[in-house]
Amino acid sequence: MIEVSALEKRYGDTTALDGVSFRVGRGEIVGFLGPNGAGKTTTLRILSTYLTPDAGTARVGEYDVALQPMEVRRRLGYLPEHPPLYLDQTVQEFLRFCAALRGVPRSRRRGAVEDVIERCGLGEVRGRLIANLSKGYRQRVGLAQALVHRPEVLILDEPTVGLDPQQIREIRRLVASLATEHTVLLSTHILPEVTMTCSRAVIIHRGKVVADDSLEALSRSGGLEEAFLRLIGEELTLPADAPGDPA
Amino acid sequence: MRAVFTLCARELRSQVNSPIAWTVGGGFLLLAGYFFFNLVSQYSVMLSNYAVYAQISQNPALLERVSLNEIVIGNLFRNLLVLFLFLIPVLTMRSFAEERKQGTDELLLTAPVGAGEIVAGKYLGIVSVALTMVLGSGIFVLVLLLYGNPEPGPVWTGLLGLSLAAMALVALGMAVSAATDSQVVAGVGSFVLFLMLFVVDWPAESVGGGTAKVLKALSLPERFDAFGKGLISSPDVVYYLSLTALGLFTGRAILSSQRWR
Repeated sequence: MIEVSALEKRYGDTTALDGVSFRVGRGEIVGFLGPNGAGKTTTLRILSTYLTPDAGTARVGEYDVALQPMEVRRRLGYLPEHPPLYLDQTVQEFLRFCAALRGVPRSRRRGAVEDVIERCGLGEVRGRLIANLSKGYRQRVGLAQALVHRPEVLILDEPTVGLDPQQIREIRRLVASLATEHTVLLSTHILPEVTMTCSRAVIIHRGKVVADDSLEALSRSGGLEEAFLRLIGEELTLPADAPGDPA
Repeated sequence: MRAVFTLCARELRSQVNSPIAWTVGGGFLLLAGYFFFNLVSQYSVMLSNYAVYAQISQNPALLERVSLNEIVIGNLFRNLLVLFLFLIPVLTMRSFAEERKQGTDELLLTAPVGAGEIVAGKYLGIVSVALTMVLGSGIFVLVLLLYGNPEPGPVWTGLLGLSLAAMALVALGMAVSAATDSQVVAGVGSFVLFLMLFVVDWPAESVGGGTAKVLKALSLPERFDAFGKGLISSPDVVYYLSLTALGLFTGRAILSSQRWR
């Protein structure tokens, strides 16, 4: 469903992606794992058609993200690293706007919005201004906007970053429940996230894919964490504040 | 087309819900009222002076030189055009700069909507606010129509000229806003650009010849004069519409080029 091959992207002198390739099959939930600054956000932005690659190709379904961006966008739900929300709208207004923008026909719009409000647990805050919502709720609204047009493919960039443990659990449960209907690619630098929601992980480091395997295979020799650290060549000290993903 | 409507509705709602549009509109009408009051007082002083001259010189034709249209309406419209210079950047500076700052451009640019539709939708939303302001200034003209006897022609053409100028400046201001993620940069940038359009013909006198003609042809207030006199000339209309198109297409080009960073 998602096919990335030999993707390259540079920002000035910095190489963000240096030949990234991987695939995600229909209905899979794949974790896209890597330390901060590894190139996760760049890859996801290319898949979302927000950026174009310098070299290589990326396809969603049978459509090339650089050449047929409109076709890709119709099939894609995307939650960027910072959920893109209009703070001056209520949750319901915002979701209706997103549904209309993504081409949900007028007759089905109300139903589609009700559906995501229900699925993302936003019933209580539907009439509140987004500006007045907690971070957890904002993240859920961000997820709801990515789901409202029932896309085949979902791309989630660090969906649980900055949330408290309770909120993280809720978001994870929500993401796990999406598997039956959507193909999901989810980026994170938090390992447990992958173990709890994904069936497979692609590990990226310094713009290169260093591992692409099922979770069992990855954690066969010692835990997943050790595998991760071994692959990115760090001695059990995660670079807590490596240079952030290029924004 | 549907997306244009959706985006326009959102932009309008956000303008109406924010204090900015109200401040700009209110300030515009307040200053317009002040200008109007002063112009009318000047007119009445002038009229009474001329009445005395006319009596002394036994020449009542002198009175006809004091034109309500020229002194009050013509000058009012010219002053309002100058207000645009300051106020329209405030309406447009947020349009794209704020989307980029808040990251909501990522939502728009990854939706199945073309850059042209995004620009068109936003433009229609903001230009409606500006045109409502122009319409609001019609209230002063209405007072004159009720209590005075101006020629109605120049009133309507003046309002048309103001509307065309507003359309052009909003489009250009949005293009500047699309090029930055800072509202302040967008605001100052548009102000400088607009001011250039106002003063571009200053060297005309000294350079003379063909260059002077070109400079005069590019000047926004120069193009406005005929409207104030009741004339609609197609070169003037084309000038304003070309600026509008230039702004919109530049905005679209900047927006769609963002993918290729």
